[in-house]
Amino acid sequence: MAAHLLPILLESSWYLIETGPVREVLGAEPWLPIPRARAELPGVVVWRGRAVPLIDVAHVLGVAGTSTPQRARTLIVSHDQGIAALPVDAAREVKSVPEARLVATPGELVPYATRELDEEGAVTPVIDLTRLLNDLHRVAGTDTDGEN
Amino acid sequence: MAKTDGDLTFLVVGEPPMALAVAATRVRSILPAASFSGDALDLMPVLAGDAGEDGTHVLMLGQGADELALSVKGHLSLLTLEASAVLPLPPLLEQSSGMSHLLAPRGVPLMFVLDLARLARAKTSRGSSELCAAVTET
Repeated sequence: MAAHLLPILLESSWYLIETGPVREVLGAEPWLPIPRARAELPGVVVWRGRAVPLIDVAHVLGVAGTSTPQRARTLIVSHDQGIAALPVDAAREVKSVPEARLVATPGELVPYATRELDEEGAVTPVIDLTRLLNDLHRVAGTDTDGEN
Repeated sequence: MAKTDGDLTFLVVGEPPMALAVAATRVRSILPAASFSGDALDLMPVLAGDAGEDGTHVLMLGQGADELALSVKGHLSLLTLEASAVLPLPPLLEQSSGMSHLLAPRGVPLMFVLDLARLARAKTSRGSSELCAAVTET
């Protein structure tokens, strides 16, 4: 069975996320900062006529600077609680690799990276996006809501 | 552009992108801050910039028996938008921001609408001195 993974660039590091939740890859989207927002949830974008939370995944992974910059690409992802927008610096062509090539990460050196892909010595962490988004909702106390 | 039945009007405090909006139908009166002696929720920390020549005001909001006073600074203006440009915030943002809607004319996010129901609940349950937390808590 193959895993379909989207390579994304945050700052100077590449990560992989499963393509299942990814609805669209957009360019830089205008976003509005929320006054005094949490760093991981700095603002909102509009996608298809609805307000969608902007999630600073770079901050969650610990690679962001002090402020949320405008990034060149915006991933629109769906999950159990709804839709979210993730700004990234770049995205590449989807990789399809056998599941067996994804190995467990020793420890969890990168937050939410429990597996990694080793391509001839180049190791790229796979981010568990579902767990990341569920954690954000749990912290916000919205994990029982059915709609984002 | 003429106002139509589907349009909604907001009182806007401050300048985008740090402006905040309140449904105009909820505004009973606007007072100079110096002439108000009651207990008001201070929104000034949330509004960026100085009051400038526009000064500070107290917005008296209410519907029925509920009344809420908001202390604000900066320019006051009215904004009328089509209902389709008034987007409800998803719970994830509503919980963390103290806002209820996003105003997004032509699909571009412009400013937030204060969640007055949440502020009123906070006033009832916690007392006015803690109201600001309902808007500014992080």
